[in-house]
Amino acid sequence: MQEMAMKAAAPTAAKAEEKMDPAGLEFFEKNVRPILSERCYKCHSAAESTSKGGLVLDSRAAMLDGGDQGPAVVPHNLKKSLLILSVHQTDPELSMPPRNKGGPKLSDEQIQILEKWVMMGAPAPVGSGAGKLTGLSQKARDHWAFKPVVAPEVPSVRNQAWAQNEVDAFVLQKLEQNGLKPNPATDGDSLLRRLTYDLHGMPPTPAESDAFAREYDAAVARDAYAMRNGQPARAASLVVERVVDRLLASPRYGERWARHWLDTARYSDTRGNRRDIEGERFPSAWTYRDYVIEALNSDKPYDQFIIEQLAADRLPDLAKDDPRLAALGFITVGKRFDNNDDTIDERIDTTTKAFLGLTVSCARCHDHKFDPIPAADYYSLHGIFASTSEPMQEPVIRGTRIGNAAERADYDKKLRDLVESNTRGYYRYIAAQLGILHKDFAGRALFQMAGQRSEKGFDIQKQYKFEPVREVDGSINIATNSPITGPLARLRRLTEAEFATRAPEVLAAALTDKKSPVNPLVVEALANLKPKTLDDVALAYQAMFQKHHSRIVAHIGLRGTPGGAGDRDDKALAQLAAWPWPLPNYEEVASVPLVTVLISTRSFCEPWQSAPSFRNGNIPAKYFRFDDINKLELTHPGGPGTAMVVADSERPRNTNVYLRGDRNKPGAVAPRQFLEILAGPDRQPFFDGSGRRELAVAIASRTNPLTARVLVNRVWMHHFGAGIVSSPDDFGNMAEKPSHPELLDWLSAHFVDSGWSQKKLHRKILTSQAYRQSANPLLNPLVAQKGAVDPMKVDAGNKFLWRANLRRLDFECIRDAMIMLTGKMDLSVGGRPVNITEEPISYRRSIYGYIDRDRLSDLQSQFDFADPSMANSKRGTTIVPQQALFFMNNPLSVEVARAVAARPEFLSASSDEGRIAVLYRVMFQRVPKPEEVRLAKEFVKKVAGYIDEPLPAAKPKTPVAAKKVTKEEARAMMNKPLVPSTQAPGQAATKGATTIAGGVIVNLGEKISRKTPSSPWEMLAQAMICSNEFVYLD
Amino acid sequence: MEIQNCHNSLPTPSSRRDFLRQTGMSMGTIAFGTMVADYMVNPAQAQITATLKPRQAPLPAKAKHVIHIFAGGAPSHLDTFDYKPGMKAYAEKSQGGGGGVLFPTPFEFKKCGKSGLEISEIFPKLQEQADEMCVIRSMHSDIPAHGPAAKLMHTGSAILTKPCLGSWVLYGLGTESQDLPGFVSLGGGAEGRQSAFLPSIFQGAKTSFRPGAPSNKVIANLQSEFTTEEAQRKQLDLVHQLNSRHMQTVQKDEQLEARIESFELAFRMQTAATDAFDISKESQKTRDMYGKSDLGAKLLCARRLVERGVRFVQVDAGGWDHHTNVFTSAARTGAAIDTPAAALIADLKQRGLLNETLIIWGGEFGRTPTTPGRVNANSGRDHHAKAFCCWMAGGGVKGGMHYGESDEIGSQVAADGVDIHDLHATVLRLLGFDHTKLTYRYNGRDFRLTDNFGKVVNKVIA
Repeated sequence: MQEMAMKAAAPTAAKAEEKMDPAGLEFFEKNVRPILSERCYKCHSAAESTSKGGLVLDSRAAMLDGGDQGPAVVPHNLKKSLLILSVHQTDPELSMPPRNKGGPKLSDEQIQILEKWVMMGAPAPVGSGAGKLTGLSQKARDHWAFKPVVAPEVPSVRNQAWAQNEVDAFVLQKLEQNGLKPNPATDGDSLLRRLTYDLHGMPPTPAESDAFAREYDAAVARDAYAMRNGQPARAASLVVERVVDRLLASPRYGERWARHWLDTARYSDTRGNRRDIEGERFPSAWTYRDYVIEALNSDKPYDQFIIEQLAADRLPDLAKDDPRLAALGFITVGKRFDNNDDTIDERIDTTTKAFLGLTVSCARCHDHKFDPIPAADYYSLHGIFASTSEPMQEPVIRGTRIGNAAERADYDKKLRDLVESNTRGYYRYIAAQLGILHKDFAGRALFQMAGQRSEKGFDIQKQYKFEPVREVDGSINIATNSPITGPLARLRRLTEAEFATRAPEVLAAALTDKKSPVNPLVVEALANLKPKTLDDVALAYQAMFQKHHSRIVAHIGLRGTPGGAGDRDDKALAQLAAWPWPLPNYEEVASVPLVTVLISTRSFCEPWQSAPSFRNGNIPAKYFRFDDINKLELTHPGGPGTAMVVADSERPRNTNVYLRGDRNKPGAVAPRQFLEILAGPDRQPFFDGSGRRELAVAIASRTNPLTARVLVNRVWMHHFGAGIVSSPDDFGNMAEKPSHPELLDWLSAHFVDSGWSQKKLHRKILTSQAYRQSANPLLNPLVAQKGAVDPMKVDAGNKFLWRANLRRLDFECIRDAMIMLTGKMDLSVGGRPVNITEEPISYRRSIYGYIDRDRLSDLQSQFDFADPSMANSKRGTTIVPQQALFFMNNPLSVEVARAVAARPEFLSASSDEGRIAVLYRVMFQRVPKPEEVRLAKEFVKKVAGYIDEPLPAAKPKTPVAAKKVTKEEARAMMNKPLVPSTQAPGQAATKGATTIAGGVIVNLGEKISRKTPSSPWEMLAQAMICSNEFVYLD
Repeated sequence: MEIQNCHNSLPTPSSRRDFLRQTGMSMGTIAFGTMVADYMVNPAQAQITATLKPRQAPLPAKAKHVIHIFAGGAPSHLDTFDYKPGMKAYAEKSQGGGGGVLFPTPFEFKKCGKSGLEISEIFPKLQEQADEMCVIRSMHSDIPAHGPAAKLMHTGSAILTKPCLGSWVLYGLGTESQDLPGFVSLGGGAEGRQSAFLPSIFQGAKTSFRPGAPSNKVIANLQSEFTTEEAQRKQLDLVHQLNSRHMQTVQKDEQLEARIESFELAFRMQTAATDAFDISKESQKTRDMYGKSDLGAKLLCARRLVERGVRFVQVDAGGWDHHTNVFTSAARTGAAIDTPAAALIADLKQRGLLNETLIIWGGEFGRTPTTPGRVNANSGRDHHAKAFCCWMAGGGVKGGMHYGESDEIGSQVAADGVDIHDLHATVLRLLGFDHTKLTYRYNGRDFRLTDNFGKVVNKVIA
């Protein structure tokens, strides 16, 4: 890779086209080069492949070209040569070698040599160019992925009979070019299993398997007959086409493929930057997940899908409760950082990887090292996201209330009650805090002014005898322009010595200041005061607060009553009561979207200025039950969903380039606009609001060379187990070359031409003969014939697709298959997240699982769940023993085995052979081979011998009595029941009802009974769950 | 390895041993954690295959195992291992800027062992091990907040989700244990065991180890509650038979083989882990040596794990956030780790394991030299990251020395600063790695534990 970058010629080489005097060159090599080599090349040398600050010092061109901060050397000019300035180390920001770790400063002698050399005109080998790693080269621009998509001619191939569609023509062409032959088609059972897992993420039912096998086998026979007669063989394809259509029409399709997209969109139900459990959650991330499912099921055109995710708020004809608003979750469900630039960076990264397959974030601190993305382009996008804000209140969207009427009514009432109690809590809390403040005002104010942590502060605390209270003491704001504390603020500036003499005059001026009028009650309290010390003033304040305290409390009572405004009260009193905490009226507090704002940020009451801070777990539970609201929103089936929207800021602004990523080093302004490499030379800055809508349109454009290719490649990857481009989120210069570039382009053009329809794309790919191949290499004609070409040697990695890849099912497929086999699967679509990794088991599909980006469940991480901290379209396939332990010992595995062995067809089977056939049909979707039947029978007999013996008492493995979370216990956990008491036990679990206990989501329901040990048949079924066949697609 | 006779049906193996023989497999011949080629390792660097097979480190080194005792909450360097006798004279002098008043340590320090290393009286037992210990007094960082600082200490990044030290070590060295996870976490947050973008075979196994709790529940799903071990053995033999038949239809595949072996490992783990976590199997004398506390049990367990070949053990030993009452609290928290840690050093030494086991003790930052208000029995110290300390022992570290200096009040580093990346670089070097070369390619970039930073502290290496 470095080789590639070094060959890339720098555009500014022309500068150095002067003839070098040999004596000068000798001076450089003899005197200057050793210094550079010893002290600089460690960080600034193309030969050492390191270019810190974008600077290399190997050649004259490179030095003249310079780094991020400008030219390192300006011939004959010491003051403009940064190299010289930095070795003098007078400016700490510009000191080389770095002061802390770069070793000692250069010697005076060495510096003189460098200066002399610069004054000589800096003779040095011209060099072929700067040689630093940069993607801003013609070669990087010429990269295939930036070229427009032009649909290539469909090639003609020799084996015409094999090719069922255009996909096959391209695949076969590559095979033939490499002397390879495709594998024969796999059998009907395995084909249907493959198709159903690929489109639904679940296995087919026995009935579906039976129906398909019959039809498909007949079609294959007809095709064979047709081929013998030289006629087109399309019967099997038609059968496949029909089943693909059936699968695509099912809501299971959207649930499966939404999971793929959510990996790319780094979906999580949590923010990822907070420790307090309540503030950590996104209560309504799930509406974005449901939007994605819906979009896929309705085959929303992909260009529209992009535009909605980036700019749904700017759609024409948008209703306030438009479900499309939930699409904006694409921007907002990402990881949050305390530094907003990091949050913006996360959004740039996800947006460009997800839609464009570009790693634009690499250009945050310097121009991209490999792709033609200057840092300025990064900051063009930065401006767009920096001009995008999240409103305080998320809109409720229609169609998200999934519960029944009783549940909805229950939710509404609970929410009303909680909002009311929290709102009242606010006033009670303020009154209580004011009680503390008013009583000890003098001490607390002096304590605050002296510095709470100083010796003096400590003495004041002793003298005035009060306990510091963080929320109270921290709120005492003594400011000159405050109508309450203004006079105090002015008096505190006097020294102790001058206080007594100057105080009256200062006080009088303060009380009569027209610019910052002082509250009349304060004036009244201080008007006749002759203070000797600041303490006297503080005590006068304290007396005033105490005098009015009961009236203030009464006033707060008025404010805290619906409709009771309290506006009619004395204005002076109202002002006094609202210090230091604001006193909005009841309706205002009750209208604050409590869950998203009150608990999660310091911005509680932001609209009204300062606020008590409830961070660090300081939420006074006596007054507030925010967590109850959060719990209600997260778990109650009757609540509506909100959309995690964004909006354009009122005053959109451009960002300056941050030099080396440092916001304190602003460079040139980067207008809000699209990437240069994609927008072309005529690129225009965006003008519509933040520019987000224009960005979305530019990405979703049919002329964008990346958008369709990136999507097509992902779809291909999920069907074949490997992408045409192996890195689905990086199509840049660092990506491996595509295995089938023409196919990728043909499919991309086809995809756009067929209205960006993903379903049509699936159909095209899945009805190919290439998809239908067997995975077994031994079936390949070349292997069977033992010909000269051995595909297992020529193409061991199966790059050219001479067979199907063996693929391990991902976490969701495995779990969904198991849940399906329990016979209890809850197939309702959408809704709030459930716990999919712990007992009590949820019978919902895995897509509905709660995802905590910072505390991913161990089960999910053990099964290679995509890290939700950034876009990750490709899952790993690691194997760890904890996975094996899960299949061997987890109660879900046992539950599946029990359920399978309790199926009616199993129970009604009349022989062991029949029972074994049922197990194979249900779990492996095929007929067992005679040898397998024999093994199974032997096993059951063998194990029965063990099981029938009484279990040894001393063994630690003795099955223990079931631990149940009864409904009653669950209720106790959550204070109040969420499900109406009329509901039958067990029903809650299948409805996906949950509660929160100990900071995690807990499903309502019962744990799996441990009372009975597994029977031999159940153990047989469980052995099948443990086997490779259960978790691999072949 | 080769699977024989793939073209024809295999004679059905009648037992597990037969099965393994027939498939040419035996314990340890397969790296169960084999990865398929999805994970690319930078070709320019020394090739590291992503497996758990034990492998030689590229550079000569003594340390083979690590026990990281994470003293979360941030221990005060001034009351533990960084003695500042000069501070007594400045007691209660203001620091200015509302930063409280200087608070000399209320504890006595002693020059210990032959080396004369200074250790606080709150560690009477560790004082006896001074000659094995190397204290770094010049640790420093920029982050005085627990959450991000703990993340930084474990992963080298305060913000992003990156692999932790243990995962990098496992990635570099694999594991010698055939029947236990190579990286075990005895408590603590996810940042102390996450493999992040490294393949999940390198993540720390989460355990719920507690003394007295049944050792067969320490790892999730460790043992079945539904059947006996004998029946499960038969079941697993059947699984192998089914798998060998399945493999005939798809041909040799590393993943399939790895998965088969993972079940064997899991099965062995059921017994081996249950045994390893059962500290009641230790002699009374040994148990007494480690003390009765939870931490004693954890460190004893850590020793049992290392002894069994586990590469990295992460131990949570927090409770150091002493904003008030340093005098009583630090003494209490110190006492909790003193006996166990001293016992661990002595025990490893007597078993000849100390030289190859690196013990690291330290928190995420240090504490202020000042206290708010006055110096009295209730005084405490606030967060302070500009200077703090940690210690190492064993694993090729020089004993009986300290490295680096903080200034006279322990407020800033005065000489030989060591930041977290430097510490990580040094730990990797002790294990035989150049930290700039232990890389993993992810999302188009080569990542290192030390990011673009880190320099090895050669002077602490024996």
